[in-house]
Amino acid sequence: MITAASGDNGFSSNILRVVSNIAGVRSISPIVKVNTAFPDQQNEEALQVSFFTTAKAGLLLFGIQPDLDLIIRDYKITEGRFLNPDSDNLEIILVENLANDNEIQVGDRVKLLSPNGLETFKVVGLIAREGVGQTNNGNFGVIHLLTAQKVFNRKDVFDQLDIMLQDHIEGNRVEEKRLEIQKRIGTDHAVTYPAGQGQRMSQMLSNYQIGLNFLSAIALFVGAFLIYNAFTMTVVERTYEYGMLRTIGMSKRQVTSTVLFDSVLLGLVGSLLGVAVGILGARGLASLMGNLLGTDLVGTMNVPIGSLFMSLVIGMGVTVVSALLPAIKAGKISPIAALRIRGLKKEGFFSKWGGLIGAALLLISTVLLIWNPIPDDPLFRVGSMTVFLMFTGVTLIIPATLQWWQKATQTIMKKVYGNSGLIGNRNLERSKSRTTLTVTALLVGVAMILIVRAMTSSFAADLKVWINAYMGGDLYVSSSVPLRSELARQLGSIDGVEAATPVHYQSVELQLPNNTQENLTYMAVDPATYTRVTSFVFSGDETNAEQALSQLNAGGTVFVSSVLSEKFGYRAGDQIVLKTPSGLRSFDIGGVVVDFYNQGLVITGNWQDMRRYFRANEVSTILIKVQDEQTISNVQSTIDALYGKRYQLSIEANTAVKERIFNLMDQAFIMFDMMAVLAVIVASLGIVNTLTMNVMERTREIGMLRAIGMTQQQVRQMILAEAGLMGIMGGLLGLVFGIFLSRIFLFGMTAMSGYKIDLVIPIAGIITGLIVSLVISQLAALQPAKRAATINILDAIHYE
Amino acid sequence: MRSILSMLSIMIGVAGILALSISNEAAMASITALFEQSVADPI
Repeated sequence: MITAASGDNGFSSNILRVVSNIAGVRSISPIVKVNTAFPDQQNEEALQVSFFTTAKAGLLLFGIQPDLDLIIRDYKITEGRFLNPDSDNLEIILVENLANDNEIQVGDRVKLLSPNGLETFKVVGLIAREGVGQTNNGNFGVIHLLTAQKVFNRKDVFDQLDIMLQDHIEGNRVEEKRLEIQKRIGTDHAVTYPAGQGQRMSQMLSNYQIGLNFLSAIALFVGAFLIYNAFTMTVVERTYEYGMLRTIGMSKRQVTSTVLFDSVLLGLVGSLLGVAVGILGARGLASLMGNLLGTDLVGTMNVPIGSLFMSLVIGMGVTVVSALLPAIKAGKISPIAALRIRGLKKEGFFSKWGGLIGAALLLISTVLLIWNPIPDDPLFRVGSMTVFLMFTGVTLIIPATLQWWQKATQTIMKKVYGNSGLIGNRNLERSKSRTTLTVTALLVGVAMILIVRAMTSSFAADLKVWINAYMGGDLYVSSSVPLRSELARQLGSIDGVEAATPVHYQSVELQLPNNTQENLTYMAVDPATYTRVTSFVFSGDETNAEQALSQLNAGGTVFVSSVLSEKFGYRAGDQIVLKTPSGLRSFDIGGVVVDFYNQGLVITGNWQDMRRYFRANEVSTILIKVQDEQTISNVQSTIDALYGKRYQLSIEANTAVKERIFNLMDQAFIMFDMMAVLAVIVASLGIVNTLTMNVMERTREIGMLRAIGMTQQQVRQMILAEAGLMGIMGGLLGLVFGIFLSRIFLFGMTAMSGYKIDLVIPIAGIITGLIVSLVISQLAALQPAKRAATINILDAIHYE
Repeated sequence: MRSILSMLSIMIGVAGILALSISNEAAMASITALFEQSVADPI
C-alpha cells in the first residue's frame, strides 16, 4: 500500500506509472478519498468520537477504478450492481444500513455536497456493512475514480495505491519487493503492508489487552486454586477410608492407584462439565450485558479452542496434582494410623507456620511494590511475582488470623444472629482449610470488583481532565469540505463570541534516534487565540506555562504528549525530529502536555510552522468560546444563519460532544465490569459448594445439636453466621488485596505501554465490594442452612 | 455426595477459567469493533 509520507493532500498520479513498471507487481488499484455529506445532514453530529480520537462525521467516499479494485477488495453486493468500470458517470454504491437510514433505494438519485456545490449521483447498488463496508462507521460509499477526481477537484491526485504482487512472490521476497518499491518512489511516499493499517488500532487496543490479560491471569490462578483446595480436602477426608482398605489387605501401590484413578475420573468429568457450564455462563452473561449496552455481544462471541484446551488441561492437571501428594501419603500411611486420623489433632506445617510465612511474604511483596527494582521491565516480571507472593501471603495468613477475626466480630455476630451466631463464629476454626478456601474465593471476587473499578476510575479521571481542558470551548465548528483559517477570524467577530481558534490535524512521521519511524498527529494551533478558548494541561509542576507558550508562539517549538514523553523519554528542552515534505526537521520541545488525541500519539505545534514546514493551510475544526454560557444556543443559531450554508458547517455544543465521549467510555469500561461479575459468580458458587460440604461433614454433629434442643431457626442462624464471618473476612481482605493489586496493575501498564496514570481510590467500588461480599455470603448460605436445619435427627445421628 | 461436590468444585474452577477467557475475547472483539466503527478514516 502506498500513501503520502506526510500531509493529507495525496500525491501525484505519476507514481502509478513508476510502480506499474516494477517487475512482480500484478495489479494496482488507485484510490481517492473524499469527505462529503448529504445536504440535509450537515448540521447533525459534527464530530464522531471514539475513545481517543474525534473525526468528522459525514460520508466518506472512495473513488476507485472498479475493475482494479475488485481484484484487491471484497464488496458484498446486497442489492443492485457494482460500478460500471468503463464509464465515469455519476454512479454511487452505498452501504446498505446508511441507505436504509436515509430511505435511499437502488435507482434513487442522491445529492451530495462538493466543493462546487451540490452534485447528483445515481445509486446503482448497495453493499453489506462488513469488511470494507465498515469503513467510517458504515457512512461510506464508492464512486468511480475519475468522477471523484472531477467532482471533488482532485485532478491527477491519488491518496492511496493498493498493490497486489504476483503469486510467486512470497515470504521474504514480499519484504524485498516492498523495499524495492520504496527505493524507486522515494521517501516522500510510504510503502506499508495492509496490516500496517491496523497499527494505530492495535496501539489503542494494547492497553485493553494488557488489562484483560491481567484479569484472566488472576482468574486462572484462582480457578486452579479452587480445584486444588477442594480436591486436597476431599482426599484428606478419605484418608480414613484408605486406612480401612489397607487394613483389609490392599497394597500401598493399589491405594495410591485408586486415589489417582479417582482423581483422573473426577477431573475428567468435572472439567468436561466445567467447559459446558463455562460456555453457557459466558453466553448468558454476554447476552445480559449486550441487552444493557444495546449491542449484540453473543454474536461476536467465539469459543477460543486454545482457551478450551487450556481450561481442560488445568482442570485435569490441577486435580491430578492435588491428588498426587495425598495419594502417595495415603499409600504410605500405616492402616492403624489412618484409622486413627480422624481423632488426631496434630497441627500441619502450614497451620503452625503459615501465619509467619504469610506475613513474611506480604512484607516482601510490599517492599517489592514500593521499591520496584525494575521499573521499566516490559515483561512485568517483578509485578507478576509480587502478585503471586501477595496472593500466597494472604491465603496463608487467613487461618493464622482466624481467632483474631472471631474475637473482633463476636459482638456483631451475637447481635445479628443471637447465641447461635457465637457458635457459628467459633465453628469456622474447626475447618480452617475449608474456611481459607471460601474466604479466598470471596476475596478474589471482591478484589476483582475493586481492580476493575480502580482501573476504570483512574482511566476515566485522567481522560476527563484532558477532555475538559481539550474541549475547553463552548462550540465546535467543522465542515465536510475544507475550511480556511480566515473563517475563524470571521466567527470571532460575531456578537456574543469571546474568541474563536482554528485547529488542524495532520499526520506526520516522527524520526526516532534508532532510525525507525512512528506515525503521529501534528495538532496545529494558533497559541494566541487557542489559550483564550481553552488551555493546555501541562504534565508535571515544573513547567513554566507562560514561557512554554511564548516558545510555542515564536515557532520551531512543539509540545509533546505525556504518552510520547513516557514512551520515548522526551522532556522539555529536548529536540524532536519530524519528517516534513522538505526533509527531516528538528523542533524544540517546549513542554509535556496531557493529551490523549490519537491515543496520545500527538504533538502540538504552531499554526505558522504547519504552513511553513507541512504546506497545509486547512482548518479541521474551529473552537469557539462564548461570552455568556446562557447564549450558547443563540450564538450557535447566529453562526448557522450567517455561515452555515455557505461553508456547509456543522456546529455542535461541546456538552453534547462530551456526553457522547463519556458514553463511549462507559461502554468500553462495562466490559471490564463483566469480568468482575464473572469472578463474583465463581466466588459465590465456591461458597455454596464449601458450605454444603461443611454441613454434610457435620451432619452427625448438627443432628446431636438438634437432639439436645437446638431449634431449626438456631441451626439456620449458626450456618448463616459462619457464612457472615467469611463474608466479612473475604470482603475486608479483598479490599486491601484489590487496592494493592490495582497499584501493581497500573505500574504494569506504565511499564508495558508507556502510559502512566495515577491510582484513584474507587469509593463506589469499595462500597460495592463490601456489600457484595456480605450479600453473596448470606445468599450462598441459604441452601446449606436450610439443609442443615431440616436434617432428620435420627438419620443424622446414624450418619457416618 | 462428596464426589459430586468435589466434581462441582472442579467444574466451577474450569467453568470460571473458560467463561472469563471467552468473555475476555468477546470484550476485546467488541472494543475492537467499537474502535473500528469510530475511526473515521483508516490510515
